Amino acid sequence: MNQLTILLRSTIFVIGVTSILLAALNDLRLKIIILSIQYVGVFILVAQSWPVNLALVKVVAGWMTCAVLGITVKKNRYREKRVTRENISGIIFRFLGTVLIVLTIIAVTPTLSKWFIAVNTEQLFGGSLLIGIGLLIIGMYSSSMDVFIGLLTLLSGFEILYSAMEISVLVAGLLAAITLGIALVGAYLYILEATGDAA
Amino acid sequence: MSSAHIWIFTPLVIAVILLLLRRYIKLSNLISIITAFILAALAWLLPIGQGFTLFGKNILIPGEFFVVGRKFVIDPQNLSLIGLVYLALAFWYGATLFFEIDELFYPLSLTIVAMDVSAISVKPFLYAALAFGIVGLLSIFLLDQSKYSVRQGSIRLLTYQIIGMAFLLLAGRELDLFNPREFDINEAALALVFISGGIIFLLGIFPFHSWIPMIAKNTNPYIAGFVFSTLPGFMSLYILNFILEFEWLREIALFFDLLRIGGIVMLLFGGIWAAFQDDLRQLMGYAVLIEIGRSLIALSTQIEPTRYYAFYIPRLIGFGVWTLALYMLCKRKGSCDLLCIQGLAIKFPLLSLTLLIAIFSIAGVPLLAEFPIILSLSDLFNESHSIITISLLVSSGGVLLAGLRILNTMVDFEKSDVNEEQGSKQLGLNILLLLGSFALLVMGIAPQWIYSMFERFLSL
Repeated sequence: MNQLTILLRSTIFVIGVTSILLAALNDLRLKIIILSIQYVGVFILVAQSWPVNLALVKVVAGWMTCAVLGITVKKNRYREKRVTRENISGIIFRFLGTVLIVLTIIAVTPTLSKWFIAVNTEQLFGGSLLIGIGLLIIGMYSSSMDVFIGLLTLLSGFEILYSAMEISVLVAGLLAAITLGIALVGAYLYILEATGDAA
Repeated sequence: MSSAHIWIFTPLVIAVILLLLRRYIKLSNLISIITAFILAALAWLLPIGQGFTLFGKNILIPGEFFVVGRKFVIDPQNLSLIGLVYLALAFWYGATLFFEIDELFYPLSLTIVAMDVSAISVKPFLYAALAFGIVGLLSIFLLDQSKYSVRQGSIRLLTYQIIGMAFLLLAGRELDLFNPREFDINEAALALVFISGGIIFLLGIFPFHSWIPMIAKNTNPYIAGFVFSTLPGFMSLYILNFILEFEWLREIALFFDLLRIGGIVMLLFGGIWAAFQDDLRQLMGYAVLIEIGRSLIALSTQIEPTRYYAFYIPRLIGFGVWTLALYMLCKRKGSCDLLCIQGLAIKFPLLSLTLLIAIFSIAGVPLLAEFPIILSLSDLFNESHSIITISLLVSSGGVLLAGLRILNTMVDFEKSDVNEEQGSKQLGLNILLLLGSFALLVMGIAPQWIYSMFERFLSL
């Protein structure tokens, strides 16, 4: 097994663990830290198809996104203690949900590889996993910040797949702008939610 | 300087200036009106791609502008439509001279329209998906304010826009790989799946429509009206471009069948739900679903672009009058509920009348603007697809029933509050509402003359 294969498999493992934690955990600050780790994995997978300097856009935009969300959560600590004993069952439920998604992605990846010929197996698995778990997060949470974390996860998955199909500076720039825009909208809605709840 | 600099980048720069001037609302309003009017006038006056002399200097404004391997094409073919869009925007801004609106409305709405224009002029036009993603993001700032909370609706809107954007980008890639000379339906299937997915999410087709009534119910009707006129409107123009661009797509009956099915579902769903709405804002949301359905049905006929643009005009005026009247009504009554408008016709006769004209026009009542459109659509299908005619009737019947319920409540004078302030004192607004209603009437009374004039004008 060469070094690249080890790196790619480690990346898939990191992406898998981070996305499962994003879906299962309830602590927003922890989730944002996990999201920033996930962006490193996204960068490595995107760098398989794009030049490293262009792929760096993903990790830079991702970390900026995490910074925006992190600052917002830190400044509006109105619901610090979301993890309580009754939420443990919720965490287990969400964990099982993510396991189902992982199993589904493992099952469908061979079929998907016939459709997406340009995408290598690691990228396909990583991208599909992030899309699947992103959709799961969007569907399971109702608070805006959680949904936006799900949306960012979904977008990261799409970016991995799309990077293997098209190398374009314009698309990279606009997708980075959209990632940052999602963070800004998420922060904006979170502040509105916080001020609304405080009132 | 190219046409893209004038109609895309200049509004974006002015939007930044408006953002800096947002505290001076009246000044922002004036700048916005003037900008939109100038852009509309330039669209009809400037000869794009042909040299002309100005102050002794020869000037040539090219219709194409290249940026990072892509190009924006604003040529005489789509310029008249762009002019029309900016003219409508000028009227939309004009109405806000008579009431206060959120300070972010001017910069954000100008940016949204500029992004929408970029979406219909970018080549390869599949990159428009990115512009629609950005429009979705900007719409959230416009819709969700501290005063009006539409959190769930706006989150859904953004989620669907982002998913739709992803679908269309993937569709673009598949279409690049696809060779129409060696046409194979199996090869085209994946591209079709992505295109259909993108259209379903971006246009909010059932079951991804829920954000429309949600937003309509909880936000400022005037801003909601703007978003509902631009987002689905430009998206349907984008689909029209799609059909025109890919000749092989026109050969696939399945694609047009899917458009028809989507249209029928939206018409039936919107029509049935509209009939039972007690909230006037939510009624508008369901009317938007119906309009999306009508657009899909029109697109499935492979309609001529100029005719489709002409169909867009009464819809724009109808929703303009509806949202303006509704906004004034909700502001004065403090609620948009059906119960709160009892006896309204005697206190605010003009508001009531114009609101009803707009609702009946969208319903497609004879002698009003949308009647000829619905008639021509149903004529196209009357024998081959009777389900389309039925769904067009159901949708019109639903809005008509809702309109009659509103009329019945408005003339219920016994339960009205006699001490309430009577009449409207804002002359400017009344004139705007009357002009809009008059336009809806004229378009309904003399459709052949008006619509052929629109088509001639838009094909110039």
